[in-house]
Amino acid sequence: MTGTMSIVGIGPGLPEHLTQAAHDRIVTADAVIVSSLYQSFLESGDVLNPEDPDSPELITSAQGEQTALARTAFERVRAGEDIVHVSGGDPNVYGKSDLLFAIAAADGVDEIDIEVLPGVTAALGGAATLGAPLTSDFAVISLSERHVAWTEIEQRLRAATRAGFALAIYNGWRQLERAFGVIRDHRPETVPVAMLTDIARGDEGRAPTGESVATATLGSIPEAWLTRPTPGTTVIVGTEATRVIEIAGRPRLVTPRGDFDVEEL
Amino acid sequence: MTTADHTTTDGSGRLVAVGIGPGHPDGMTYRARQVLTSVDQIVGYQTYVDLLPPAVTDAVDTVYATPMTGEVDRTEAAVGRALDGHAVALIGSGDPNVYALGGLALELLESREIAPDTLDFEIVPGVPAAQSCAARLGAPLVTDTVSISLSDHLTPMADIEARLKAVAPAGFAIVLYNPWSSRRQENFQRCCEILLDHRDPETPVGIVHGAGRADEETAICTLAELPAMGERDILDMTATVIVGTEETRVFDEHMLTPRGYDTKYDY
Repeated sequence: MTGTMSIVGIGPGLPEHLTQAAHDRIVTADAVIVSSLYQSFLESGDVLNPEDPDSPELITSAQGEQTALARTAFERVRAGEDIVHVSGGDPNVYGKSDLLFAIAAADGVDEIDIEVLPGVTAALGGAATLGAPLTSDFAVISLSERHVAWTEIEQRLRAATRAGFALAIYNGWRQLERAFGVIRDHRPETVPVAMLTDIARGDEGRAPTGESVATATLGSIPEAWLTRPTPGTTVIVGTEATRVIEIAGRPRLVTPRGDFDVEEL
Repeated sequence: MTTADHTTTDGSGRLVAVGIGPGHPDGMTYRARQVLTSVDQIVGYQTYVDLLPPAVTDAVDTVYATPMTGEVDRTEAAVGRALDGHAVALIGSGDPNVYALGGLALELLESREIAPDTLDFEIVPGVPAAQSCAARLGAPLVTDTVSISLSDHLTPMADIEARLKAVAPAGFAIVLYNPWSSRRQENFQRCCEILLDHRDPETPVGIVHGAGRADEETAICTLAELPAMGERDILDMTATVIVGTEETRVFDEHMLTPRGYDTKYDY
């Protein structure tokens, strides 16, 4: 009998934001294909324990081998095994769910049902630590030029900024200064901005300083944000309506939904 | 209502806005379940309260459910109870940021001028509809994405139209929340017109209703066919619509938006 093929989102970091469905799918798999970073998160939450004889087989994924690993995984599913691919955050957000569907389409694999288990995104995990900066319409944009040309990235930044979307910027550490330049053309310098590093990862992410949240305004971006390259960062840019408010001694970001006044609702 | 039994140990209150995800108990995160079983009151819209498993609702003293239109009353009730010293979870489907009550809760707290360290406030993120619906369709959102609500309850329709016009030509996948209601059918039709002005009529579009729930329904059509989908039951206020890009393809009843597929992998 054919097995199952799943792509599972594990949320932004440590398994506190893992869904029950994702947890169950991972622990009951025959084999789990996972990067070493995400494996370390799952191990520290005791979701995976390679010492345990009942633990699924762990296959470390690395750049450049994804296609071969995916093809082997399809073979194993045909032979009856349950295979799980692990994605950070949600598999649809710059994850690898496209790879499996693309290979299935290219190879004409239609007898295996690929199931995607969604997860909490890095943008929303980060937004939660700030308060409520993404309650309005918002755009999710990656600054990585590996697959998309800068002219296109810039066009999207401009379109979203001009039309009043809050922004969640991924892979933002190489072209961040350039992106802020584009955003400043269309948004006031007083708009709140936040830099989120290794959210929900404690000390287990890649940043030497551990999980951190920093806020600034568009007109006063700290030099360190632009010169200290750290993978695992998400930048959130508020709208003209976003405010910093203090609740019980702690600053929070709020983007009100629409132009309403709370008192009049 | 405030009694010693119901207050937190140091007398200060606790308010947690919790996103429960798509609605089935398995779609909740550990943190969400942990919070819901550690508070003494749960406040939420009746439909979401009904989706909570008995293990959660049985563990709290009070469950306060209100009708959908009572957004402000519901949030005020949660804030008031927390300031009375209770540990309160304000629940909603999806994530507390995404067209939800997290911001309103903070604004109401701001108006109460709370002294430092007298209230513990937290937001627990959840899986939003964009993600749970995209998962049912396959891989439609593996690209830059915008979320737009078609409800003009809080945002003027002119702003919604301006946003659609700005992003439709810019290559984003577009997630439409609150796409259709009998009261604002024209918003949906206007949205379709704008999208058709800027995108190929053959662009794949996915519609998901009740992702992961018993009444789940999924449909994939083209942008040209989308206006007529307004007549179908699948499209209502709680459905989510995902409009693909020029890269999006349909294979075996799934949507796929490859991200630099030809260069991303050694294919």
